[in-house]
Amino acid sequence: MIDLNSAHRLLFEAAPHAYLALRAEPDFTILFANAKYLATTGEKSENIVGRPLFAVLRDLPHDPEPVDADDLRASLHRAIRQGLPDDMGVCRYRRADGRGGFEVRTWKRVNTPILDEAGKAILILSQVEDVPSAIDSQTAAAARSALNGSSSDLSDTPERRRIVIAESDADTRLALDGLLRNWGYDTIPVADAEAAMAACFTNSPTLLLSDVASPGIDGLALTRRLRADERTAALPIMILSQQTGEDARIKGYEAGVDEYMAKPFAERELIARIESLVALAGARADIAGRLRRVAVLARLASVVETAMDAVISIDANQKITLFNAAAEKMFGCDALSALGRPLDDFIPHRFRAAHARHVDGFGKTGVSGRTMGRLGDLTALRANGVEFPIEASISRAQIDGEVLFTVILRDMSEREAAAETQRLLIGELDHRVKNTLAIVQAMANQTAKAYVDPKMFVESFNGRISAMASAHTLLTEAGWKGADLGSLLREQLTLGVDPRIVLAGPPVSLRPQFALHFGMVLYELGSNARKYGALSRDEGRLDLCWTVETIENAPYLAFDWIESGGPPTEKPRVRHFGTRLIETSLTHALQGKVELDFAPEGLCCRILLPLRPGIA
Amino acid sequence: MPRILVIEDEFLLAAHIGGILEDDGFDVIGPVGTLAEAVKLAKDEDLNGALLDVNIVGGRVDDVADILARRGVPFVFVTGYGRDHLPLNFRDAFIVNKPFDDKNLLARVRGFSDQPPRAS
Repeated sequence: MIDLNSAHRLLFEAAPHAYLALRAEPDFTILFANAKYLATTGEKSENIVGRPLFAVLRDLPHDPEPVDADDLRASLHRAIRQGLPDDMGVCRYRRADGRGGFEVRTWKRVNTPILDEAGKAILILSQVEDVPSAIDSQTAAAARSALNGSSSDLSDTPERRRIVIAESDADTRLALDGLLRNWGYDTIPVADAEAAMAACFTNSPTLLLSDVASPGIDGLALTRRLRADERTAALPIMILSQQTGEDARIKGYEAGVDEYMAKPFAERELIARIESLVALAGARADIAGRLRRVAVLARLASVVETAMDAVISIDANQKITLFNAAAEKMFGCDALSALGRPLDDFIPHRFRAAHARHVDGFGKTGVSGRTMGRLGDLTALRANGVEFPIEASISRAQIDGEVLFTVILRDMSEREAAAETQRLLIGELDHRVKNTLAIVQAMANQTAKAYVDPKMFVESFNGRISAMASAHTLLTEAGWKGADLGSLLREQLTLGVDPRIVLAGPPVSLRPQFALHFGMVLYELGSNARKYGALSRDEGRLDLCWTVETIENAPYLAFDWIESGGPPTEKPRVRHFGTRLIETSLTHALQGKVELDFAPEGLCCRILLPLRPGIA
Repeated sequence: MPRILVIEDEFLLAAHIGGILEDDGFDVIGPVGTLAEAVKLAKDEDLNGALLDVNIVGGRVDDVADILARRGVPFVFVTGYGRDHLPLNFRDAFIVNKPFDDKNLLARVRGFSDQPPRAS
C-alpha cells in the first residue's frame, strides 16, 4: 500500500496543475485527486477516491459521443510497459455542472508511471490541463473522417502499432519480439521472406523490421517486391544488418529501405528509430490525404468557375464571397468588384426586404449540413441598372463553423422572350390557317357559281388553289418578308418555255399581302389569256413591263399587262368572278389601283401597287 | 330590304359574304376593308345589322363596334381568332368563326331583326 506522507500530500494538494494518482495494478484505483483536478472535473473527492478509475467513468451519464475509455486504457498500459510518460494529447472529458448534468470539454492528458527500484510501475500520475475547444464537436467529427488515417492526434489505435518481424534466426527473432512487445507493440514474427510478404499484405502493419541477409530472407529483394505492390508501397521498412558501410546503405535506400539499422543494436535506439519512422509514415499519409483534398478542391473550383449558370456565394452577413465567370457575364460586373459587396446590390430595390427575409428564414431553418431551397422566379439587377428575370436556387452549408449560402442563377430573359414569341406565332398561325381555309371556301363557292360542270369546276378550282399555293411558297422561301416580282411572274405564268411572253422591269419586292393577291390576279389574267386571249394563238404576244414610280412621295409599282396578236377581244357581258377578282382584290382594302381595258387589239391591264406600308 | 354593313379586308371573303347576303335578300353596305371606310359607313349609313372582321387594314375594329353599339345596331364578329382577341367591351358578343358554314352566318344575320339594340 502506497502512502503519501503529509508534506508530500500538501504539495500535491496545492499544486497549480490538476493531478490524479492511480494505482498501476490491477485496476487503476484512484488514490488521490488534488483540488485542481476536482475543480476541473466538478467531481467530489469522496465519490471517486478509492474506486477504480474505469468504474468512475462508467458512472457518468451516457452521452452520444462517450469519452474514449479505450484510449485512456491503452495509454495507461503503454505508460506501464514503457516506463515512460504517455502523452494522450487533446481528448474529451466530462465536467459535472453540479445540477446533475454535464458538459463535454477538452483537455490535454499525460500519464506518467512511477517506478520502483526494480523498474516496475507501481503508480500512475495523470496530469490534465483543460484547453479551450478550438473546434466544435461537429467539425471535429468532420475533420476526423476527412483526414483519412491522419496521425495528427497521438492516441494511436492498436492497428497502428503492429510490426512484422522477419528474422530467420530463432534467438534473434525471439529477442526482437520480446523487445518490441515490451514497448507496447503488437508483433507478427516470421521466419522467411514469403511469410513476411504474406503478413505485410494481409495485416496492414505499421512497419516491417527485417534482417537483410539470412537464410530464406533477402531483405533488399523483399523490400523491392513490397515497394512494387500498391498495398505496401508506402510501408515503413527497417533493415537490420551487420554491414553499415556506405555502399550497403546506398544499395538499401535504392531498394526502397527507409531505415538501416546496424547489428548489434542498442534497444532504445531501435525503438526510437521505429517510433520516428512510424510518425513519419503517418505524416506522409496525412500529407497525401491533404494533397488529394487540395486536388479535389481545385477540380471543384474549376467546375464552379466554368459552370454555365451563375454561382454566387454569400456569408452570414450576405456579403459576396464567390462570383463565378457566368455571374460576371450575367451581371456585367467582374468578380473583383463584386466580392465583398452585399448581394442586395444585385437585387432591385423593391425586392430587397423580401429577399433578406427569405435568406434569413432559410438560414434559420437549415439544421446542420446542407439544405436546399428553390427561390423560384425572381428579378435581378444588372450592373448597368437593367432588370431581368432569373430562376434561382439556394443552398446552405456550414464549413468550419462558418455559414455559407450559395445561390445558383439562370437568366430567364431569353427563355421568356422565346416563350412569348412562340405563343404569338402559334396564335398567328392558327389565325392564318383559318383565314386561308375561309378564302378557299369562298373561292370554291365562287368558282362553283361560274362552272356548273364538275370537271370544269375542278380544273378551275385546282388552278386557283395552285396559284395561291405557289404564291405562298414564294413567300415562305423569302421568310415571309416579301416576294420578288420576277419570281412571282415566272411562277404564276410558267415562263421560261414560252417565247411569246416578254418581261421587262427592275427587281421589285412585293409585301406579302400584295404578293398573294397579285399572284391570284396574274393567274386569272393568264388563265384568261390562254383560253381566250393572246396566249391562245402561237402568234400572240404578252408584254409584261413595270417600273417604280413616285406618287406623292410614296413609291409605287406601275405594272402593265399587254396582250397582242391574239383574237379580237370581247368585253364580257357579265362580270364574272375572275374579272371581279382582277379588278377588286388589289383595290379592296389594299389601296392598289387596277384598270382593265378590253382593247380590241388585246386585253390590257394596268396595276398600281404601293410598295411601302401605306397609311390607311 | 334590311341593310347589312359588311366589314372584311380579305376580298374573296367579302365577296363571298356579300354574295350569301344578297342571295338571301339583304342589301349589302360595303364591303369595306379599311378602318377609315368602316368608321364612316358605321356613322353615316342607315343600318339594320353588321358583320365585323376583327383585324382590318388600318387597325382593329373596336371603334366601329363602339359606334354601332351606341347606335343600337346589332352586329356579329366574323373572325379566325378566338374570343380573347375580341374588343374588350365585347368579349361575349356573338361570333361566327372562320371558316364558317353559310347557313350559320345567315341564321345570325336573320337573327338581327329579333335582337334588342345592344348597348356597350
